[in-house]
Amino acid sequence: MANLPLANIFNRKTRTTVGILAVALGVSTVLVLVGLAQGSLDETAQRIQNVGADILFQAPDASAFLAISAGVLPQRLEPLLRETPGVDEVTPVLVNNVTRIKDAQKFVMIFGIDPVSYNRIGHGLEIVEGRGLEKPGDLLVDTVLAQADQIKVGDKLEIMNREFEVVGIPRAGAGVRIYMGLEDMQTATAQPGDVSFFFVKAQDDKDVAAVAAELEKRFEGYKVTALEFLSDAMKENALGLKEFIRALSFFAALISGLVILLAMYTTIIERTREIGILKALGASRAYILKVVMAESFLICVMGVGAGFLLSVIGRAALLRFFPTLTVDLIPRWFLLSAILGIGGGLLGALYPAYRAAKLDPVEALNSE
Amino acid sequence: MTEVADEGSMTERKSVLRTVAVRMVYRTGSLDVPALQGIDLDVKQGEFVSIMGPSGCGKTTLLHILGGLAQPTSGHVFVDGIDLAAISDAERTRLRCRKIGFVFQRFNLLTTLTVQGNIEIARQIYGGKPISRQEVGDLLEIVHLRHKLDFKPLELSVGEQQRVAIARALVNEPAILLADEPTGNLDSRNSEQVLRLLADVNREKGQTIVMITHNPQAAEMGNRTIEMLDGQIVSHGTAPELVRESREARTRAR
Repeated sequence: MANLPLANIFNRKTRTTVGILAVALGVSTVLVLVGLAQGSLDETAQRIQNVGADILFQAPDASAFLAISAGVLPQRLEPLLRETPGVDEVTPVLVNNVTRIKDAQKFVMIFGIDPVSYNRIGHGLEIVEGRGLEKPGDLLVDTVLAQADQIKVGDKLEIMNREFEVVGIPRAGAGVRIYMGLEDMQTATAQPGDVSFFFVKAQDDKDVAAVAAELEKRFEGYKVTALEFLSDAMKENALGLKEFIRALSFFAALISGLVILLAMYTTIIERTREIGILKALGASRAYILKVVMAESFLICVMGVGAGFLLSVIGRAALLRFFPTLTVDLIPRWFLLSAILGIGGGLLGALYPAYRAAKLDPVEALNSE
Repeated sequence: MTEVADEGSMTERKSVLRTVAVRMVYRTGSLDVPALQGIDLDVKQGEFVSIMGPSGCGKTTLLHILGGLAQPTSGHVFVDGIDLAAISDAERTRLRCRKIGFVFQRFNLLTTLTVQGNIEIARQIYGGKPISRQEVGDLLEIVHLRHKLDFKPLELSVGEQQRVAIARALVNEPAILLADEPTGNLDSRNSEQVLRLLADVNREKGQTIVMITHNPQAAEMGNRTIEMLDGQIVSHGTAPELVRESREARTRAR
């Protein structure tokens, strides 16, 4: 049967292309930016989980974002934590962040660790080149950062006004990108005897919840988080993340809606005569509305498809040029962005469709 | 549609299109411009009525009102006995779809669809069983264009485009075919073909036709001609009579 919406789409290529691109841009913006925000959080959480600990022990009301932690816990809590029933291992960590590596602006989180207990707590650091931390002034840089910034074993790096020597390259994927000795970090940040948090390992995986409950009981008010929930806790603590995603989604739907509105409105103006013909043939308002909406729907669906493709390409390009970034294209957001793109587009098409349906047939037929 | 036109018994036939005191006034700013001033018309089933008159005399306005595309300022239009003023806009649209076929001077084909698509969409709007390619081909046979099924309108000559428009107007077997200067954009050869086609459809299928034309020779194809002037019907008669009168009037004027 005759398919007027499809025929119009293929016969008005420029209008169709602009509409598809607008929807695609909206969809891919949502997918990539949400993927970047959530991917970075998930990746950070995953790396912390990959350390191999079971529980994160922090100061009262601390943020799940370890990057904004400071030396707020006394290191002397360590033996008390070890005495808690069910605890197998405890390791202290002092966190600091730097914004400059090898004279380049870069936000990097650094762990000051006790290498012996840190390696015992889980899988330990897998050194692929060089050696582990042994003496003051030693520094480890993970494979991703080393590759991105051309850092190799033996390089001297100035961090926090002190010179460090890169002595090893651990495999990326667990913890952070840079490690130094705990005492070096305490000295460099003028926080002797203080740590940011403790990683705690339970004697048995099955007892993690019980150990966490016992820690909460013994250290009332302190923050105890089972690491399997760290990702959720970080998203919960990410101030403005939800609002950012909501605003992003709103603007994506708005862009789709406005461009489709403009494209369809222009189309209706151009095709007034065609609508007059349909009316002369006896087409009802509902039929005209259906034709315009169907055409918009097809443009939106093609736009969503193109948006998915653009997201995959965009992700690959981002990772190619910024290898330390993480962009997770989240399956649930494919569905949500499709709903946003199509929903926004259809909303935008409503007014032109309504206007077309209401056109006076004689005036429409007489239009040039 | 199966009844064949018979001029002798026309008065006994059922009335398919009737107007009673139809007036149409267009408002331009604060000025009222009368386009139709009390039109009474009765078209019987199977009739081929030509409406003649100079430009601006209200012919096209009358045709739009007869087809339910426009509403008169006052008066009544009855299509197959149904008063168009007494029904809603949606019902008028449905009635137009069921009972009326339009043929326009500018053909008004949908240029993005093929010939087949243009005919299919008229059936799609009508509803019911979709028309098969074979049926479209059979319909196009009547206008001698079966071989142009897959062509786009702009790939056809103007005469062919008008023949496709006629096929499209006939696809739902309307009670009345309204043609607004169907030969106005055609050369004499194509005009003759289109007029003969309309006459054949009227004679062989008993199709009721109301045709607007400027051309006295075209008007002769019908079995009744109405002449309009300044929004009024000034004479009824057979086409040859009016053509003769018109010729005589011109001679007297010289």
